[in-house]
Amino acid sequence: MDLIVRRKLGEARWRLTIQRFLHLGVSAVVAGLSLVFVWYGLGLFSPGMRAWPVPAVVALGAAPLLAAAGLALFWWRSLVDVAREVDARAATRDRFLTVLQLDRNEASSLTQAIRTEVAAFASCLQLKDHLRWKIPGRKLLWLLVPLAGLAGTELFRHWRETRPEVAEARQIVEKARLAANDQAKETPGFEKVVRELEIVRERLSESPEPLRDALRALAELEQKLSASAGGASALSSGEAAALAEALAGGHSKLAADLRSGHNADAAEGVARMDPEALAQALAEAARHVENARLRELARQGGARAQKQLVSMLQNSGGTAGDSARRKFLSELSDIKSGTQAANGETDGGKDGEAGESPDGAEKSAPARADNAPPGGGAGSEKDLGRGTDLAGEADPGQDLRAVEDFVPGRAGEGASLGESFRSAGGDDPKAAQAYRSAYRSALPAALDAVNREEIPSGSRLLVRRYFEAIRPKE
Amino acid sequence: MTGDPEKHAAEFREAFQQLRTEMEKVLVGQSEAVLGVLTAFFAEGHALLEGAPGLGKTALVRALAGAAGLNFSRIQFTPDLMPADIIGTNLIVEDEHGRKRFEFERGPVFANIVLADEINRATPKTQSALLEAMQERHATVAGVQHPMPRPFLVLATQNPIEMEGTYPLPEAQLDRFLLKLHVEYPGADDLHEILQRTTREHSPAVAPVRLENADRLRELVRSVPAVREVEARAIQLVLATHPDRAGSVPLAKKFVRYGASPRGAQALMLCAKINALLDGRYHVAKDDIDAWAIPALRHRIILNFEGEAEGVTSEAVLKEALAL
Repeated sequence: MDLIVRRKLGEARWRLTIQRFLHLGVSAVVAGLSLVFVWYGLGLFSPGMRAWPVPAVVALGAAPLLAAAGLALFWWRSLVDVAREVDARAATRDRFLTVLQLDRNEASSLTQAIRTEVAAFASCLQLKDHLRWKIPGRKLLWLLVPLAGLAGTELFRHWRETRPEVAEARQIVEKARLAANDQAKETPGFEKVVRELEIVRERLSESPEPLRDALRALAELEQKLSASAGGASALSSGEAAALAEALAGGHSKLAADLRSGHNADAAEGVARMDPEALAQALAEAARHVENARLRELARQGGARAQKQLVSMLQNSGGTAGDSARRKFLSELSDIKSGTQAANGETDGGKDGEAGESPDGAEKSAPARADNAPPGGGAGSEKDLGRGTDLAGEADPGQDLRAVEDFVPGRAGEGASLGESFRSAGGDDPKAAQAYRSAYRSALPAALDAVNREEIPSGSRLLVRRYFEAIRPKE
Repeated sequence: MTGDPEKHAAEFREAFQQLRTEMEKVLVGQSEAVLGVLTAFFAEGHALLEGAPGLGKTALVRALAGAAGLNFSRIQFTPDLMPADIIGTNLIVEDEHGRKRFEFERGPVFANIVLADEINRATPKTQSALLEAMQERHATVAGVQHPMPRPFLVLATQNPIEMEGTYPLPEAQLDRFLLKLHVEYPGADDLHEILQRTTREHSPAVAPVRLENADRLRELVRSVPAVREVEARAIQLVLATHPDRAGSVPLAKKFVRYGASPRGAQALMLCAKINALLDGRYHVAKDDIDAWAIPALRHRIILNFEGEAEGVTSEAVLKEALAL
């Protein structure tokens, strides 16, 4: 008989434990979410307060729940307490309490009768009718709806901020910001750039295409700084880099001056050059970067082009501020290229094409060019299309991700990027491989260019479809 | 107690119900008072009935005596009533040989059921003549103890309206009553029923119920167990009425001079045991104690002057205690 009573009380204990857990749990969750709510409310008035990370918010709900579970288990550890509670809630007229506290040796002749009566009563008692699992204060739980909404918003924000694209885009912008910060220490005026980049970095989490927006922002910044650095008459850093690559073979000092931004020395070097050789170099540079101004200079040729180039180089010189801007622009270009090179490593790595210089030396000059493909663009001594892929020397069966050795090439040989594109229409599988490789290396630059251009919104879809259409088949 | 206790409990319920049915034949709308009187009967306690004239207090006592088949005496208390009028006195009697001797002439108190009608009209001296009989269940006259018959039940009535020329019962006497029952005015339907039953040719009569095992049933009542925590409820209620005790209620602290006595706790427990048996249980529950708290304790609480002036009642104090 006692077994029936104790079994019933055991069942009641679990029900009471769950009830207590629900009571405590709801209170704990409400308290936790309220704390978050208050914290965010305070955050509205003091923007310096940092938002809690999601794990902290989750912990604010989970930890009290665990504590509630433990407390609920602890609360009903005594069977007498359970009996007392069941008697109170199920209106059992102290039957369970009596049978637990009744002394077996009590003289009363009714002791056994009590045990029998309570056992019969317990076997008929439906605890679920008296000890329902109800969530307390259900009406008040509507208050949780805005809190849950807030938590959902916070989770969404956290997810958006931690997307890989956002992280990558932020990394790019952060590099640019650090570069600008370095410049700001020496040159006044760069603080504004730093602030702009900080704003861009913060807004990236809200962007549906963070990488694209980051590149666009950097491109806009580049344009703005270029315009203020030397105007249209100055030689841009991209143009200078392309020209340096074209001249690297025969005029290494001049190429070095162009790369390092010593424009006065470069102007003197250009003035001393053979006009024909200069025209040839200009043509090659124009071909690789497809730059209209360089092409025009190459077309003009002769002393006139030489004179004009000298003038442009001289205009590219200037104040320390201009020099700093150019240096920053060069770094900016490196950052963009580096990112794209990294992309190239990721995307094109399978094809054995990396943006790194083959010999581990300094980055290829066209990589710094405004419109040069990142990851070592065309015109580079190292990757003028003479990589294993572009030269058609790649072994299709080879695990190209493992290929890190590049054959140093020579200027003027192999297919340029444009030639690779043009030759991609053939049936030659090597050509298709080269096209795929070229496409991947050119895509970031194309995106960069698209970002820089003012494309009417109605045409954006067409442009995107164009790039989709020319994507090589995998 | 020997025998099958469950069978005895069933017998108890049956006897109680039969007595109740018989009493309610002549008493309409007084079920609470009937229940109280029967409870006092089985608990071997005395009851004080308070109510306006004409509500059937005397009829209630008569009905109990008739239903239980016990002898009954009525004492109409008046200011000139003397103790000897109640208890009896030694008379000089002469035997057949002409020798004179004292012989105790029993007073009306020597009956199973004594109706002390309008008890508050007698002087305290006379009232206290009942004390020994009520508590000790015997009367001492000229150094000789005369035991009361068993069962012995004093059912006193008092009229709360007419206070002039009355002598409020002393606290010691009040404490001897197991219960103080209020006889309420019947409702309209009950009055109709009263008219139907009492103004016709044949008025209903109470038939005696055979109570062969009355003593065993009273023994059964006392054998109902109550665990310590249930007893604690009775103690809690009693202590809550004391102004200077921990756990006393605010009303008691402010308006009570003396709280309920230990007899109050005893009365509570006995009534609760009867309540449990009537409910088909063999153990006392806290609800049983709560059910009888007011009738068993209200006459044991003595209000202070401030309480009297404010019109505070002992019932209000007890209701506050019951909310604990």
